[in-house]
Amino acid sequence: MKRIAVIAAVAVLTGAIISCDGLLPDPATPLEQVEGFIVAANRAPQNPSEMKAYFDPSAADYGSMQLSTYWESRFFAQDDQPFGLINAQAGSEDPEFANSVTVTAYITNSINTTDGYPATFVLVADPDNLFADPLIRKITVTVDTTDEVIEKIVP
Amino acid sequence: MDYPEVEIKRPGGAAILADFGDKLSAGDSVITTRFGEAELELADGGTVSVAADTIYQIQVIGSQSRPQTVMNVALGSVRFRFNTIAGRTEPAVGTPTSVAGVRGTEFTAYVAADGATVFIVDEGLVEVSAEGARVQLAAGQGVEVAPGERPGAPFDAIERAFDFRQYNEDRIQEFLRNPVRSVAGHTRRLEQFAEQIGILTPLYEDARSRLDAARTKLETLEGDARQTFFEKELVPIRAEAADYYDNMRFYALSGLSLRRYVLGRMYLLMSLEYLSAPGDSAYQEYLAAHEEALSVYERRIVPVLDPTDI
Repeated sequence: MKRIAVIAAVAVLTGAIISCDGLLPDPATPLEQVEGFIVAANRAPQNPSEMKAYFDPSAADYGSMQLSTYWESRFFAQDDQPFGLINAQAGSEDPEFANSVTVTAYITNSINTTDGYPATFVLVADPDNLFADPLIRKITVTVDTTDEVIEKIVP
Repeated sequence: MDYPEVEIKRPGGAAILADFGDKLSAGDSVITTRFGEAELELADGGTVSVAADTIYQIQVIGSQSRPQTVMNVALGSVRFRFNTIAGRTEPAVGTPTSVAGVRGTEFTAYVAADGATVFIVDEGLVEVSAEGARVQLAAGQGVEVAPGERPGAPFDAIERAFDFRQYNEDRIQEFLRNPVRSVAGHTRRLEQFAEQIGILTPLYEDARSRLDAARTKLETLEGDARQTFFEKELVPIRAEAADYYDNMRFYALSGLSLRRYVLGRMYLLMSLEYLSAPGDSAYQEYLAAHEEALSVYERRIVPVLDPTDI
């Protein structure tokens, strides 16, 4: 009887370990993160904290992104909803940021609904945490000749 | 770890224990205790060494297309080693009394409890400015900037070994001898921040007003005319508003730092010094000067801050 109990306990423990491994969610892909940010930017009203959650803390404007005033003067202003992604694709590493992946796309808004504006998202991954989602470090959207940069470069 | 030796304070958040690999962003502060030290790595390979008993902050100023990082030493000592990268705007180092522009440089900023600052350069060039005056330092030179004063004459830092512990103690004694003078210097600094905010606020409000007008006009347009107006007219105004907004926040957060870390510490020092003699005339004069500084902060800086900053 004791022998059965021990085997059962070991089996339960092994099952728990396997289950834990199975329960750990895969990290989002860079593309999924960009899509998630666009979903957040399209909420009405926008929730700045939700939008901020897609950014890496090393993004230089990070300290202001929880404020709606910040977003009112940027490309993803609520006035220009809805935003959409066209031809979004993950590319190579941005040489300026270690462990980064770029996602290039065209972003549509209520003004340019068909072609969209060329945009580059730079996302960074935490090399020490394989389960962490990649986070946006920088977004550059080119509108005519004005580059609207979400966040800035910080050493 | 039983005692928080190095903490990171993020805007709107409580201080958290620092850990290896933590990332810092604009608005963050690194706070070390008397037992803590922190080594920060810059993206370009440079390093920032934060000594014990130090408060170090990162801020950004400038435009979206040409931002400048300001590394602020509110208290204590920080050693900087910058690598020069062509095309990148050089960072600046701020202290409660002065700002230093750097050119591919190794140097240390020492900030005493009363905000008095000493810069000592090991390599490269540093230009220190305060109260409208500038001093250029080469390798082996140092300079002191007292609260509310212009930079002193450069001294030979190779021959004169610098003992920050002793310097800080001397400054505290100097502050206790003449606290009103020190506080008045910091009040002037707060007023300078407020003046910058005062210059930027109408510019920001004007840009916001033009942005609102542009939005109204945009609604009356259709097709290509609408898109052209958005791209050529509205977006540049929006970028302008964003730049003014970011710079206003920079000066407001600089004022918050001065209030929190320098004036707050001075108040603590004086309260302890006059614990048994609160009616002393010197203490009362100090309190009046302190109240004046707080008044400038409350009236001219706080309105620009967000509750999450405080």
